[in-house]
Amino acid sequence: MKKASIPIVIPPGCWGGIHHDVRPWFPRQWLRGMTILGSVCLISALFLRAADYGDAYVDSSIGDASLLNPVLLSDSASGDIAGLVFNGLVKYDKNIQLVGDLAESWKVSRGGLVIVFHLRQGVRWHDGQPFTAEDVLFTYQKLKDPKVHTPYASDFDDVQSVVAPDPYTVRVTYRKAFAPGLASWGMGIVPKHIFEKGDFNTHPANRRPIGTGPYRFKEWKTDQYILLEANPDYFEGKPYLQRYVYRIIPDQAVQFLEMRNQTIDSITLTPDQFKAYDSIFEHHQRYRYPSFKYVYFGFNLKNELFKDLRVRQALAYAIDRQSMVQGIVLGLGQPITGPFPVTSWAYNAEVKPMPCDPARAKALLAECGWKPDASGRLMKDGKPFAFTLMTNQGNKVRELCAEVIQQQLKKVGIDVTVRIMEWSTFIHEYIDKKNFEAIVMGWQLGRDPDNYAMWHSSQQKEGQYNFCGYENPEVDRWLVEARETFDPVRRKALYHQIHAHIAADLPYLFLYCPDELVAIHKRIRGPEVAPLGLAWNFREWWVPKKEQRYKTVMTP
Amino acid sequence: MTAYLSRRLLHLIPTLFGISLLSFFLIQLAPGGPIDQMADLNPHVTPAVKARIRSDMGLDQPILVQYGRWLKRIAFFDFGVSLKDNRPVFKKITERLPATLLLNILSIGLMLLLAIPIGFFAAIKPRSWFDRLTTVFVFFGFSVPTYAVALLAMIVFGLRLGWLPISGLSSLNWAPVPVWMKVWDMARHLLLPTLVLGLTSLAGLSRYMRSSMLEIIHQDYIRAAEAKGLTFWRIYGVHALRNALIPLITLFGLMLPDLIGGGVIIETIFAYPGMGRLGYEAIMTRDYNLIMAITVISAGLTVAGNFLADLLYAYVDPRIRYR
Repeated sequence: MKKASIPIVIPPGCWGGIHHDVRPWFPRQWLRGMTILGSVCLISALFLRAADYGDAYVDSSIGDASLLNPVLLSDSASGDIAGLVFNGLVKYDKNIQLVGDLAESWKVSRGGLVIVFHLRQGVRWHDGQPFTAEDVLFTYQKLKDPKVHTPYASDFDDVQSVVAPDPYTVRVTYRKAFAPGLASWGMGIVPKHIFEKGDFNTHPANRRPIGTGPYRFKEWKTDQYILLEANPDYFEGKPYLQRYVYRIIPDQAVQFLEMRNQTIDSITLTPDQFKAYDSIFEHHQRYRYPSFKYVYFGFNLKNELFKDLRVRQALAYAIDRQSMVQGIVLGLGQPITGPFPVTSWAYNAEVKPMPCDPARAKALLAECGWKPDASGRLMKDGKPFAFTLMTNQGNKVRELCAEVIQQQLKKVGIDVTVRIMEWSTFIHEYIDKKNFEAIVMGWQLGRDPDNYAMWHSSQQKEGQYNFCGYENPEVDRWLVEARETFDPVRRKALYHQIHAHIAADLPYLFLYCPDELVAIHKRIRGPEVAPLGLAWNFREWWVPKKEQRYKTVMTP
Repeated sequence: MTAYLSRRLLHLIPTLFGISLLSFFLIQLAPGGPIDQMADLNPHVTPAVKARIRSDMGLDQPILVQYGRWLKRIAFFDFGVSLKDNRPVFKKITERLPATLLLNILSIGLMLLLAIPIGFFAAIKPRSWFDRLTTVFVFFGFSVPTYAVALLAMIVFGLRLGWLPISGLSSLNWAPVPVWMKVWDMARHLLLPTLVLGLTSLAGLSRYMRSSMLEIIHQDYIRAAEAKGLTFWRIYGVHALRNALIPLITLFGLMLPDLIGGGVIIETIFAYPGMGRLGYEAIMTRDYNLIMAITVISAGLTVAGNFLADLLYAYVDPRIRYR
């Protein structure tokens, strides 16, 4: 935050504000007023100071970026860099509400069928060329081009046409109203004058990007680091941190050592690292905030065992989610009740989580005909209540969740076998083909709450994401309506209803949402946790001149 | 001799062909494909889009057809384009090759520098305190997991003492720095990985050296040389050593493919941009073109190394000459 003390000079006679019938001040009172004002300014100048420019920020990452092109990228490392180099037409503010980025304003008309974006004027690409609506048109053409290997084509399926009536206006016409479409225009805009020559997929600008963003690309040493420099002409103001270094350190333990050595400024921590001795973090500030992921225990609703809602409710009562959070992420998370990110406006906080009540679980199961035999195992028609719980290999957290579930269900007499599979096999042979009984998986959610693809009954074909087999015609209707309404109040109400019904229907047992755990060097001023996360105001982070570490050559 | 050589060379071609065919089929057998990274469980990517991208990359053709196309490209030394970021595979390999060669040559050099004298002196005075001490040291280095040693070294030399950088290959600089500074910086970064890699792989070579020397020392001609009154260094340092090194030549030949591969763990721990990590990531992301290129190059080097070892062996030891 720019904390500058701005000397305010108010000419006599204008002090009254709206009341224009104020008499002119007597000189004595005016003098008193100005003295008070002057001392306030002086004191504020002493305590609040202008942010300093300079210094470098060293971020760390497990993996290297692959393509620095927002249209082509699909991994998070590329996304981190592209987020600093490119802008979309819109972006999310700290409260996960859409605001303008390259578009100053927009107007939704004809019930959502037409969106007109009014673009900012005077924005320049990093090579000096002016940004115009032609670039937006070009980006859209590339998104729809069948030869381009973009994963985002389907976001724009409902777009009928995109035209630019003048260089600073873009008019998008949809075939049918599509509320998440507005958010999809957060896609980074790529420069037409760079990409019009050459093959988009293999263009050298995918390695040396030219964007409009707060940071300009400087250097990329493959698998070592990516170096960005502040863009002095950025339309929102020059960033304070002069340089941004993205260091690739593939091992989490080594990242931790580098953090302790103060050679990296930012690190994502695991729960046990977060809870390490305070003395280890003497130079760093730890932050925790809810992430946009959640872990769930999913049922195959077509399976005989899980068809009955009461059985699923019994399993919900049998599982102690709080102790799961305590044990698996050391308390750095929270149990959740529905399919939206915890900090999102779509999350219905009024839905109460089901308490852990094994007695009630047993009673419900008994109602369904599951009676314990001599050894305590639940039996019905001579068959025990046993199923296989699958999860993917390589994710310690999910494996632990599966084990905890196994242990907790054993207490009510259910026999769970945990099976851990290699990722690709798991997805292609078991999930896609619905060849599973129950799974422990997670979802990484986007900012827009539309999750039609996961819950609508039409999305059950092979390769689609409603693999648990959820079918609720009411929820279907609401999902469709929430997609087509632009009215934020109505959307919020719809998603809250969807949340409540999905929580009641229990197609998944929503386990918990882990926190994002970050440590940032103490000399960096400005990080502030908000519903969107931590980096929403990265452009305004700064380091006081005295504490700047990276002035000329960087020591390792 | 030439007949033998040309026969060996001719054997190379079907060997490489067979290796490439087998590798190609094996990696296709592994579940998943190159675009899974992007497409799996990604609500933005519909099955239609995924199918389109697959056919664009030629992945929906029958495997034999794909192999045929790959073979045709290889004939012109065109290794194709990486399926992860569309860059030429050859470029991806060559940008990592210098760093890999540097680290491996240095660590193998260190290994040789230490293992041969250790084996030599251990054999000269078997069961002495030197022999016993070095045996323990060498086996300790071999048994301890390399990542544990690496992390310990980082903590001691990087964090506590602050003498050496923790990971990476070079530091950053925003202003131009003189060449000697860059070289010095790189040397500081290379010290820990080289030491860890070299010291932990001493065991095999030093034991080979020791047993080979022991065998030689008990030969009659050594006793004859002693009887003739030659100096210690002339007998053991020249005659015995030379003969003891002969079986090690086979080992040297087999080390050739190690020059460009291996070391995934070290490279991951030290954030070192080498070929080992490149190969590992290629396998994890099913980047077929890159995997095949690395396999073919490795296979070529192994076969060449073998061939070279045989040649050297035949050259060095007159007793072994194939007709």
